Amino acid sequence: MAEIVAAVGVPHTPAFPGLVAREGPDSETGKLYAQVREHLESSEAELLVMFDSDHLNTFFFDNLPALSVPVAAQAPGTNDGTPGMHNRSVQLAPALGEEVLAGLTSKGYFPSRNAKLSMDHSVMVPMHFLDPGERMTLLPIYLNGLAPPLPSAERCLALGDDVRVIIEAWDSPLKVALVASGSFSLEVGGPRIADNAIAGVPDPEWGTHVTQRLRAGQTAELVAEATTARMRQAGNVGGELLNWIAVLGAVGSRTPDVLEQQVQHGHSYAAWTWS
Amino acid sequence: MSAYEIDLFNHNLSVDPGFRAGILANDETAWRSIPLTADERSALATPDIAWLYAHGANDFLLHNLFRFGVGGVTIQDYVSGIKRHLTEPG
Repeated sequence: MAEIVAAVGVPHTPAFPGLVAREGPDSETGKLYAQVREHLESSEAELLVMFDSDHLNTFFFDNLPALSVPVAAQAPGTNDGTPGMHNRSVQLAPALGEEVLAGLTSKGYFPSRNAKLSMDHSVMVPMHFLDPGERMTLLPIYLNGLAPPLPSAERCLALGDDVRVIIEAWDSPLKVALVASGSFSLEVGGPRIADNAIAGVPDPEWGTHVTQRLRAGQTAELVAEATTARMRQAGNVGGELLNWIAVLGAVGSRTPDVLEQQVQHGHSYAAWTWS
Repeated sequence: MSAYEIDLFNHNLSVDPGFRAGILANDETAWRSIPLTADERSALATPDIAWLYAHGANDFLLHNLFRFGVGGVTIQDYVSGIKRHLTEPG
């Protein structure tokens, strides 16, 4: 059976590949991603299951799923003109995608099947930093974190645990790591951006509060607090916290081995050991 | 009038390099590929961020107008436009 060997959480700020290319691997951001990457490498993970919120690039309002599971064999990225990225085709995991799609449907979820997709920076920036050798297979699981109505935190927590059960029952020798992609407080393009930038962090205190909850393993408290209104108060992409909550559903009572916050960016980096 | 077409325009700017190049070159075929009203087209071409936001455009997608430099919009123009409703009620 497949084995879950680690879980991590990272931001996907589209400017970070260019920033780290300019400032080098010893820059603050370069070192934070490296910390998480080293944790993944030591776990010997071969397949990443990434909870992510598309930024209206993979999907659009013509048909916007709350939950979507790809079953394609590969997908290109990035599809959104993110600078500083090495565009490529990523090997996906259609067999696991089918297992997750069937397993979640049998448990009462309503995931959409996605047989053809391209991926934006919200997937590809984490891949850029976590898998620079491009050796890993990927299964993104898309949760709508940007366009209300958002899924509830309670449902996303249960989803993460159900995905864990499905992975652990999957007849495969692969070692799997879970990834949460996203920020806790961030506004992009909306009225609460900074006065001199296209993005801003309207609620850094929320970012710190979420990070403290993660450090203490206070998942139940965090889920109770993470209403749609509270997450949206933290920015128009504040719903990306749902991806972290899904991973917490699988992580259970474990506390992170790595947890570093970038207060000014409204996000954190985390890694959990599975054993 | 529908915000859907405005949002589709901003979505296509991000994911369709051919559309993006056409709009930046003011190519009529690109402009006509989405059924915009005259007011919508004018607001996107300028771009008039305050008008677009007031007429229901998705704020996240709006930032693609700045990201790709449609109409030469500056960060100052974008910020003042998206925040205008905060200082000008109604």
